[in-house]
Amino acid sequence: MRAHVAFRRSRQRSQAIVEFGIIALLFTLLMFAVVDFGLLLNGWLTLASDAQQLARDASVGTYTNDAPGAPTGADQLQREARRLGIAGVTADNPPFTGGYCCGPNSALIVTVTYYNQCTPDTPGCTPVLATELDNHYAGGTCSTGACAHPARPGRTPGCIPSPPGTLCPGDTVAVTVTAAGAQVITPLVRPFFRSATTCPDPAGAHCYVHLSSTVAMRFDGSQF
Amino acid sequence: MRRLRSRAQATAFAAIAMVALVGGVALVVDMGVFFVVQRQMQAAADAAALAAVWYEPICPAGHPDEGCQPPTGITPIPACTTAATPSTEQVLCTVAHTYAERNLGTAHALCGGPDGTDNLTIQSYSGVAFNNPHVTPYVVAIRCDARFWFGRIIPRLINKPVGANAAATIGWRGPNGEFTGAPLPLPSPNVLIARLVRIPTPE
Repeated sequence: MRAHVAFRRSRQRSQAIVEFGIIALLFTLLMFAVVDFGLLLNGWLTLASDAQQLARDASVGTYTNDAPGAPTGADQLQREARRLGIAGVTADNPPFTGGYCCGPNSALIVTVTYYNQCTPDTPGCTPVLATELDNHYAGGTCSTGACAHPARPGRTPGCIPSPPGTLCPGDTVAVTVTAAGAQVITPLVRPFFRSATTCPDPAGAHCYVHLSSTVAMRFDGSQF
Repeated sequence: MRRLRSRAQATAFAAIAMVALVGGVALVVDMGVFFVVQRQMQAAADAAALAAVWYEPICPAGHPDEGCQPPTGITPIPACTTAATPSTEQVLCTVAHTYAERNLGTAHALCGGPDGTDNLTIQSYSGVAFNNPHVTPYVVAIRCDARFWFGRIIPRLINKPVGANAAATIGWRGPNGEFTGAPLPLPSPNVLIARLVRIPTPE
C-alpha cells in the first residue's frame, strides 16, 4: 500500500514536470516574441525617422557624389544613413555589425528617386536623374503662366507650359531606406521572417527581416 | 486530496500566467501599432507642411502685406475642391494632401473602427502669424482613431486617438545662417528655404 502511494506520487511529479515543460515552451516563445517584436519595432521606428531625416536632407540638396560624373545621388546619403545608426543594423552599433547576412555596407540600402515637375504615382510621372531636374525653386499657381516664386539664381523661373490655373507641381524626391540586416533573435521564429529578396547573399540562409520606409518630399533645392 | 491539489496548482498557474502573458503580448502589439501610425503620420504631416508652404504668398519688399496677408484666424479646410481655377488655399490644400497621402503608408489601414471604416483626417490651413508678422506658418494636422487589435478583448478598448501636427514656414537664410521671414529684397543672394517651426498647438 505504501509503495503504491509512493509510485503514484512520483508519477504525478513527472507528469507535472512534463506539463511544465510544455507550458514553459509556450511561455518562453511568447516572451521572446514580445522582445523580438519590441526590438524590430524599435528598429523600424528609428529607420522611419532616419528616412524622414534623409528625405529632408535630400530635398534641400544633399546628394553630391564622391565620384564626379557619377550622379547616382545616393552616396552622401548612404554615408549619412550609416552615421544615423540603427541598433542591430548599422555597423556603427556593435556588436551587431550588419547581422549574418550582410556586410557593413550592405545592411542598409538607401534608394533615392527624383521626379521632375510631377507628382509620383500620377500618369506620366517617371523617375529622372538628379541632373535632369529643372530645379524650379518653388511653386505657386500658373495663373499668369509663371510661378509665384522666383527660380534659384541662374535657373529658369516659372512653370513648365501649362494651362492657367493649374498647379505647379514642383519636383519631388523620394527616399527609401531598407534594412536587410535586421534580425529576429529567436531561432524558432526566424524562418517565418525570411526575406530572400532584399538580401545580397544569394544563399540567404540568415536573411530574415525586411524593414523598409519611404518618405517623399518636395524637392526644394539643388547643388547642381 | 493531495493529487487534486497538485493538479489544480499547475492549471491555476498556467491560467494566471497565460492571462498575464497574453495581456503583455496584446499591450506590446497594440502600442507598437500606435507608435507605427504616429510615426507615419508625423512623416506625412512634416512632408505636407514643408511642401505646401512654398505655395504661400510671399510679399516682396515694398509691398508689405498687400494682398499677401494670410487669413486671420484658423480656417480649416476639410477637403480639397477641384475647381478649375483653384484659390491659393485650395492649391495649398491639394499639395498638402498629396504629400501627406504619399507618406501615410499603412496608417490608413491601421486606423478606423472594428467595422473597418477609415477615419483618418487631414486638415491643412494657413496658421496665424506669430512672432514675426511676415512669417506665416502652414499647418497640417493629421488625426485618426487607431484600432486596438488585441485590446478589444476588453469591451471599452476599441480605438485610441492618434495624431500628428506639423507647421512649416518659408523665409530666407541670412548670411549668418539665421532664419528670417519675408519680405526681403527679392532679387537676393540669400537662399529661400522652408523649414518646420513650432507653433502653439491648434486644438
